[in-house]
Amino acid sequence: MINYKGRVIPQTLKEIIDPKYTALIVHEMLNDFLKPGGVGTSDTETIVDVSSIIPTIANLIKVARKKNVRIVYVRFTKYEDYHTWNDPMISKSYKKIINPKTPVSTVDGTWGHQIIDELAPQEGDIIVNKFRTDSFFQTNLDMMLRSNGIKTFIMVGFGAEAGQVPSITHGVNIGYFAVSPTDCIHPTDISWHDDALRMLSDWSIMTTSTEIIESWGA
Amino acid sequence: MIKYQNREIPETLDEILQPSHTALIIHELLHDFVSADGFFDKTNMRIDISKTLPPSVRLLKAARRNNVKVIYVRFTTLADLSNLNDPMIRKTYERNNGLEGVIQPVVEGTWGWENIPEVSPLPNESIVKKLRVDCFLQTNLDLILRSNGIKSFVILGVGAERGIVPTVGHGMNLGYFGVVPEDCINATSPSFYDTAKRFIGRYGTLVQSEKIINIWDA
Repeated sequence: MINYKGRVIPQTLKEIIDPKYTALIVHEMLNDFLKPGGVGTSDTETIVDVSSIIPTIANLIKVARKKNVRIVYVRFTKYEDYHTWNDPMISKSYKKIINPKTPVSTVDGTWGHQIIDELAPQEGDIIVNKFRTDSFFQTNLDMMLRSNGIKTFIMVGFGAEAGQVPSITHGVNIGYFAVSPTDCIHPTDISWHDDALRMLSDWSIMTTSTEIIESWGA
Repeated sequence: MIKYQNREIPETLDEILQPSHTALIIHELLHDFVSADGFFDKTNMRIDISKTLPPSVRLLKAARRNNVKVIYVRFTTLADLSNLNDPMIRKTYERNNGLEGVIQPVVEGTWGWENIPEVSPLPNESIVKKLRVDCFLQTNLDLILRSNGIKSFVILGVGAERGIVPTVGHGMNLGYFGVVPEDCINATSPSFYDTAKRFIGRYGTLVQSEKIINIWDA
């Protein structure tokens, strides 16, 4: 611990991810992005194979539950009429939007908007719907974390470059410690892997799920 | 113009960059980051702006002669470190093996926190102080832009991967069109330039400064 002007500040990984004040955020593990029959990502309209990270995330969630670590799910949310999209977003995707053949992904309430079965939420978990890639942007995520005395979040899941980079940047800037287990995160496209990790490591503590689980003594 | 559900949305770069609804943001360009004897110079991290400064000055002049609102954003630190949250204190502690005698760059009110003379603000130009890399995070930048009917901003300066990426991202989330002249930005280290550009491209439009000047002067 660092003692600074009366503040006690976690220093080591073990101190930072103390289950007393750590949440595990599962980002965008949704049917539409990942499962056959899903609409795919907005960029490519194809589903992405993230089978490498599903078992590691499932295991981390299992251990986190045993340790009473809060589980939070964050998911991108859209509506068929795009009423949550602002001018630059409409402008960029206009041709796709007006084409009635373009499927809309992760529409509120649909199967595609649900979290994949392997990682299904349980009663008492927190689910946050977001309208922008940054999970803190005008959502109740900050309020939910603060209300539960959270200092640290571990972020796992899909969309490393799209959602995790801005969420982690925002989170650290408002005072949270962010932790990224590299065996539990995946970009929307593999070509983003290196750039995503580079940006993440500017803000987040890079580790693995094994190290986290060891540190929890589980 | 795109007409979408009663909304009129700028589509072409000409429409996006209309001087009546565009602001130019001068990001950083402070002595401590770029000048001889500045903080970064003394710590061997000085950012070399010899190639980006001449087009930046030309762009600033073009903005002023076309009544494009000019806004300065300055990273601001406080001498007693009270601007730093827990993860930031920890990072500072680790980097300096303690907090004894730690000095920060761009302390409010010092020479190092002033803009370099080539781009210094005129008396009626806004200066926004930010305590975090994201220019919109708990600053009055959004208020100033909205009050002036701004829809788009052009942003130039240093710290592309740290400050410009989250600012263009947050700006887009709020509904602003972000345009970035790629010949007028520097990363804190040149090796970060391409990654920064790739992330900026997710949220905004990258162009050569000459193209912006031509639109404003047309």
